[in-house]
Amino acid sequence: MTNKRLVSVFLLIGLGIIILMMANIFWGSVLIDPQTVIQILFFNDEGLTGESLIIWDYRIPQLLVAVFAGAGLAVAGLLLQTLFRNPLADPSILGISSGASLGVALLLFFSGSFAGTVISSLGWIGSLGISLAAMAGAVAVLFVLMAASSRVNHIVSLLIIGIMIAYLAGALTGLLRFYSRKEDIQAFVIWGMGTFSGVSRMQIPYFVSAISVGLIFSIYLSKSLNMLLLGERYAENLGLNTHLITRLIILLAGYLTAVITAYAGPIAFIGLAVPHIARNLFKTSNHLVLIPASIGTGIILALVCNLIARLPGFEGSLPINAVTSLIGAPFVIAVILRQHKSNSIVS
Amino acid sequence: MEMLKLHHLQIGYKAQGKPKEVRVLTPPINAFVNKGEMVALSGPNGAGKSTLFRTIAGMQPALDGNIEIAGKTLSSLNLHQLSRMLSIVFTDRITDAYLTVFDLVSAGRYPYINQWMQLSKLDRQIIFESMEMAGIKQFASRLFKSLSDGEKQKVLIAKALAQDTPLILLDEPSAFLDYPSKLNLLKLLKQLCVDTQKTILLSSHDLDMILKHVDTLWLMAPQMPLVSGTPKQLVENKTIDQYFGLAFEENV
Repeated sequence: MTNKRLVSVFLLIGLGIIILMMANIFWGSVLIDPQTVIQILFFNDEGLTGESLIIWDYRIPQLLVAVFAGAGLAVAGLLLQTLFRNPLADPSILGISSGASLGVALLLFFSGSFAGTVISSLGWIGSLGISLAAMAGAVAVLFVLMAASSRVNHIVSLLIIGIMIAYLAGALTGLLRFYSRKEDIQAFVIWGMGTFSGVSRMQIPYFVSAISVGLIFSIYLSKSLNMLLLGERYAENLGLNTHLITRLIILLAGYLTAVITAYAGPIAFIGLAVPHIARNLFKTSNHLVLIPASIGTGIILALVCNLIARLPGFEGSLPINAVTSLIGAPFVIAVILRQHKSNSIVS
Repeated sequence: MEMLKLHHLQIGYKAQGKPKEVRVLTPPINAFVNKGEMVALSGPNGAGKSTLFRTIAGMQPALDGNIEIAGKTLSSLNLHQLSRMLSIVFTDRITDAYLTVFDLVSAGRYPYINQWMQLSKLDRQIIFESMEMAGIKQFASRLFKSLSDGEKQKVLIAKALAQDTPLILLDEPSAFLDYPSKLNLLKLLKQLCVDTQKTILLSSHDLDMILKHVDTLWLMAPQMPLVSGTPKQLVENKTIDQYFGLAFEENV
């Protein structure tokens, strides 16, 4: 791809993001006329407390969560697809989101059955508790993975261990749900559907900076990722410490997934589908291009999903996981069919 | 000048967790390769050729003895230093969908460029010269996966050339090729040795062809010492029959 085309595609993505961001602010289940929105955003919001609350405490935090969750999941997916050289790897493949689910299920079960409190009735303290439990579960799985990665020599072994952890955590989560209270099961189901509106305005700065740190760090891994594309042995012959890099990549992808899952729940398909869209769009293997491309495409997909989830006519908003899967699944099928076709033509 | 020197080298495996249980593959190896020389390593399956390659490449520790590359002890070099001393062509398949020939050959410059991968004028010049020497300049913008196996092998050789190392190792470079491509490849490698004074060590089962093209032949067989000599010597004193015949009798 020529530099000129590269720049114009990135400009187009940037433009798309700006338009979608505005759409996300201006359009919601409560109708606020554009003039009022502009006044709230750029001038004073005297006498508009209701509308101002919707914009500043609801739509903008939701927008920021969508932007950074979309970017983070896309990068985590790209990192893992390159590391495992497997186009179907995604942030859930290592069991990190299952670990988060288990953490939440444990919290709901123990608070309900022993402390006698229904977490879902505790308001923001409850949702912070759920975030912390999800984070603890995800980090616990990440620790197990890091310990395993120093013991196994083959990347595929690590992949299998991750998938097994996912099954284990899933089974335990199922058991806990079986014995949980009705209200807590419902809270769990709602958490499991994912949401971009689970982060309060106060927590937004932490979420945004935590994800930004991960994204910036990922760009520094570009060269190592390019080497890994050639296979571990070639990478090593080019001077790469593959053992160290493998652990760094898992740590980084796991960190991004853990933070996002803690705040937004296990969001499916963005991490799987976006790297494919980015590769198809830019027709390159260079991670110096693919990482920003995945970030941009991830943001667009997340914002589109967020808009669809708030389509007028639905009470409140649709669960984000249903929307990402509805868009992501057909896309992954199309990519696989297309790859199959092009492979059979070439070889 | 000796480019590669194996001194009392013992190769094999240590059992994991039991450092005393060692499986030694061959008697100690003493051998060397001169600068600008092309050496082929051959022998029946299970002789330890791949293990020897991995050990020389620094991907597997030697059990005993040492390896010197251009006068430097292998174990004293870090990964980055090693990447400028020795490049390897593996049999591993590279399957990425959007990797172009130019991308792959320029990967040979990774040990020399920084994190942001900006190629200097000199880097570009080396990349194009490498492609020219390997005879694949016309494929520069083609997708790697769209090439034939013979062409792919040449791209990987160009990558090794771009890596600009005095020593190049090739692990069974002719394994997947048809007869004309095999011949073509060996001729190319020989030409590179002559033109650039690179030192090439390759492993191969295509005895008939390597006998004609290499300067020196190394033979290995299970539990036999590595012998080194010119193809002519090794044929005339029947060492080849001995090394390959042994495996033949065992298999029958």
